[in-house]
Amino acid sequence: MTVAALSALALFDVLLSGTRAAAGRDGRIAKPPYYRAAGLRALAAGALLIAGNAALVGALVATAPQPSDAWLLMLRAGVRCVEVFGAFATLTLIAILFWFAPVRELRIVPTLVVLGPLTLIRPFVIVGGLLYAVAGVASWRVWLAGVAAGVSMIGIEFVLGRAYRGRWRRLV
Amino acid sequence: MTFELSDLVVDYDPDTLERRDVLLDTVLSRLPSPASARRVARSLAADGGVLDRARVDAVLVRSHLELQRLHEEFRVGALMRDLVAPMIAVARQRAGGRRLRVVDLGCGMGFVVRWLAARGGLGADVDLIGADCNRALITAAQRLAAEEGLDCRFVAANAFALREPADVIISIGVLHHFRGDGLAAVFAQHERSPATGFVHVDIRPTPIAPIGSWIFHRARMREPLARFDGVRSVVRAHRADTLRRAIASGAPGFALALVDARPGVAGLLRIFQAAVGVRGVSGEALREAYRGFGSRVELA
Repeated sequence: MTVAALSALALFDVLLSGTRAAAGRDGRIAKPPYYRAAGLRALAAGALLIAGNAALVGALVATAPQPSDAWLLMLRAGVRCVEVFGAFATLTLIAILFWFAPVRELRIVPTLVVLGPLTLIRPFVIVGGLLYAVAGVASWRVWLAGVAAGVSMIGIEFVLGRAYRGRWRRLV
Repeated sequence: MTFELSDLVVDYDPDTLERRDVLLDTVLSRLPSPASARRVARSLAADGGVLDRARVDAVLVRSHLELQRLHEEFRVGALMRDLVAPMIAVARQRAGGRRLRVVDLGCGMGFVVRWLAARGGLGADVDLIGADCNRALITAAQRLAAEEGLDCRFVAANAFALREPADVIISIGVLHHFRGDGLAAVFAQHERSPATGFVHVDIRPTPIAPIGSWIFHRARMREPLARFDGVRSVVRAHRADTLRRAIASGAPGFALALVDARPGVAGLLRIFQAAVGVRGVSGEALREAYRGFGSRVELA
C-alpha cells in the first residue's frame, strides 16, 4: 500500500513537473497536442524514476545484514513520505479543481495558488518531507534512498526541460 | 526612476524605427541595482561594450514566450475579447459597412492578436494587426501565426503611423512602460488618430501585487530578464488616478471608463485592469456598451 501510494504521488509530481518544463516554450495558441506529448513524456520519465528508485531500495535491502529489518525501516520512512507528500498533493489537487469552476474568475485560482506559491515551495516540501521521513533512523541505507529520491524528484524538471530548451530558435 | 531591462536593452530611432546600438555602460548607469539585473545586462554585451543584438533578441523572444504562458494562465485572451467586442460593436455602427481594423500597440510576439484570430470570434469584417518596434518579435509573431494559419498580420511599425489607421487600438501590459509626460503623449497620439476607441489592459496595482508577483515570477520564470521585468512591471503599474489624468490630458475627446480598477476583495482574483475609451459618445453610452461588466466598470 505504501509503495503504491508513493508511486502514485511520484507519478503525479513528475506529470506536473513535465507540464511545467514544457510551459512557456511554445508560442502557438492551440497547444493541447503539445501538452499531451509533454504529459506522456513525463509519465514515461516518472515510470523510469520510480523504477530506478525501487531498484536502489531493492538493492539496499537485499544487501543488508537483516533484509527484513531494513525493509521495515524503509517502509516506515515511506509512510512518513506519504503523509507529507500526500497532504501536498491533496492541496494541489484541490486547487487544480478550480480549473473547472463554473465562475470564470475562480478558474485562475490554480494559477495563483498552484503555479505560484506551491511551485515555489515544492523543493522545500520535498527536502523537508524526506528529512522528516529519515529523521531518527540510524541506517545509512534509508538515508541513501532518501537522498536518491530527493535528487531525482528535484532534478526531474530540469531533465525534462532539456527537450524544450531550444524551441525558441525556430522563431528567430 | 525605475526601469525594466527590456526598456533599456533596445533602442530605436523614433522616426525610422531603425535599431540603434545600446552601450552596456548606458544600461548599467540607469540600472544601479539589483546585481542580478546588472548580470543579465553584462551577459548581453559583446566586445567593445555594445549590446549584441542577436543575444538581446534571443533573450527577448524567450522572455516573451514565458510572458505568453503567463497570459495564457491568466486568461488574458478571453479578457481582451470580452473588452474589445463591445468596442468593435460601437466602431461597426460608425464604419458604414467597411472593414474594421483592430491594432495591438506594442504587440510583442502577438499573443493577444493571435488568440483573437484563433478564438475571438470578433467577426469576418475585423482585421487584426499587431504592431511593435522590435523586428525579432514581429518575425516570431508572423511565424507563429503562419504555423497555425491564423488570419492576422504583424508589422514592425509605430501603431499610430500605419497606412491604414486603426479603428480600435488595444494593448496588454504596455501602458506602464510610458512614464510621466510620456503617458499623456501616448494618449495624445490616440487623440490625433482617427480611432474610434481604445482598450488598454495592464497590471492592476494593489498592495499585495508586488509580493504576489515576486512569488509567481520566482517560481515560474526561467529567464532572468523576464523574472526581473515581471516584478518591476508590477511596481511600475499605473494607478487608476494616474491613468485618468493622463487620458483626460492627452485624449480629451474620448469618454473613458476603467474596468476592474476598484480596490476590493474581489480584486484579489483580478490581476489586470483596463482603460476603455470611445470617441464622440457620452459616458453613459459607454457604460451601456459595457453593461455586461456590471459594477466592474466605472466611468472616469
